[in-house]
Amino acid sequence: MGEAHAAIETGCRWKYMTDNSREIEIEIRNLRKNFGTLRVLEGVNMDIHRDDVVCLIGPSGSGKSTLLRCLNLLEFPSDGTISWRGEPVNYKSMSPYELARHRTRMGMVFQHFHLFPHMNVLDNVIEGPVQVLGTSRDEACSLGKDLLDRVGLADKHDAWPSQLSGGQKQRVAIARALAMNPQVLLLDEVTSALDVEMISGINDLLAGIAEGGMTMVVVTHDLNFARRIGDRLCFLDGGEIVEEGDPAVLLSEPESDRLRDFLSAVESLYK
Amino acid sequence: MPDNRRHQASLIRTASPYAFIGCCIIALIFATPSVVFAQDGDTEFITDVSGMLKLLLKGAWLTLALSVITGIVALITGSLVGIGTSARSVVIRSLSNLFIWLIRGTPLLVQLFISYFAFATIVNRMFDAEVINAFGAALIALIINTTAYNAETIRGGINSVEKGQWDAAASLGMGRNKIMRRVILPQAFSISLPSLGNNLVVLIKDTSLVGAITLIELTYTARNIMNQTAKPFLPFLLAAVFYLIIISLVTLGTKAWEKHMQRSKQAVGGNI
Repeated sequence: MGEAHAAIETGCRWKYMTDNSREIEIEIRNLRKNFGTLRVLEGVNMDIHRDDVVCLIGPSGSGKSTLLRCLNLLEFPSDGTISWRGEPVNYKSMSPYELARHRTRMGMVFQHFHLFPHMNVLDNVIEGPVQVLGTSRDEACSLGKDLLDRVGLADKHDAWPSQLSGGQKQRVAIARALAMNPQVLLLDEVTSALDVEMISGINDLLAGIAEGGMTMVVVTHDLNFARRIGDRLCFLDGGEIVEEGDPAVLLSEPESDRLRDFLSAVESLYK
Repeated sequence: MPDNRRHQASLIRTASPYAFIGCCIIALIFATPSVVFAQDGDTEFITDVSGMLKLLLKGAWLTLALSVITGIVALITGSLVGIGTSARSVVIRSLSNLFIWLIRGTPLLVQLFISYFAFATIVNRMFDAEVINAFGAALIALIINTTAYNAETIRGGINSVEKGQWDAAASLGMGRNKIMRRVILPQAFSISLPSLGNNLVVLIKDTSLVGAITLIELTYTARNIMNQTAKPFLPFLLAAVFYLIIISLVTLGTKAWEKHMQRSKQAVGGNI
């Protein structure tokens, strides 16, 4: 903490204040999702601007992951609209081709990596480009090697996923998502399953990707990471966005009781 | 810990060739007299071990032929029906499940009788020629039976692939068929392989039932020999050894395949 940190905070705040002029990548209106009788999302409204990093926090069961999975239609919303660059996504009657195209716009990284265990590291990364985008194998290989170098796994191209540590697996998963050249990166608690000493490395990597200009939606429990990387913070509770705004402001001066309770619960855990 | 694991691995690696060589030696010992002392004509009265072995070897070939053909065909058909159980189409899914339920719910002997006495007879009468002989009828019944068991094994394999694999592949924009082909089936097959090998072993022993529809395979041969010689002990013991040899060889083959499929699981310590 100190001056450097304060500089980052003011930088973020400035970015947030001016982002009304920037293009809206994803617009969510009144999004609802039920699993049977269980109502997980109860009318979420949200704008995700280009190159913004939006962090979603909230207690477990608040619908953060479901909201993320609704964005790339791993879950189909029960009601509401999702628009991509002004065009509504017609998720209720979508052809497989349109569904695939929508999903390729968004790369997703999961808490438990979900690498393909029967493929080596490089094959994991080039699977998407070769199978979905139709990139030639040679081209995909050189792209994949570049990406693996970038995430710090230059010497692991031929390794099997089972030979990697958790942090290394997550780096492969990030490279696999980036290989599709996505417009938006969705991160679902990507450091929650990692050993503590792995977390800062992954956080640095993600911060670097965000700085390079990438729209990101990040579900996280790591409030320091949210403060560091987030341009905007949304607090979800009971399937709705209770409070949203600049991370530094939100985390230091919560307005609602629910966010105050959540923050004190989380902080007591880390003290 | 790694040392321990390496030690275990080396044990497995060295045990397999020894078992293989041992089986080959046993096979050689039993097969040699039948070749050296071979006599013409099967009809002659059996008096010695070499005569028995010659007949049993003939029966063993039929057993082996039935097992190999059924094993290969049922692996393919079983995979198809197994995939059918998780098809998107309700019709294909229901038909696959119905097939598995019907075949697993009835005895193989009854299926053999239906195939030979009912189905083959009707077909042969329809064409007024022997289109399906006893061997064909036996093959049909064995293939259908083993297909059902293999399909059930593959279905279990598909279901035991982690749900997150679907998510990961779908998030890359892969379609359902591509996810199945590229991501789920390779893993499901690898998981299923030990059980598929087990199905094959069960099949080899189940071929002893085809004696009931006039096919003179290994067990039936042994019974014939007993009837002729009034010696009950030796022919069945020899038949058992033949089964053991065939099954040992098949098991070695499936183990080698398993090992090949497991090559991606060679973890170097830590979590998998």
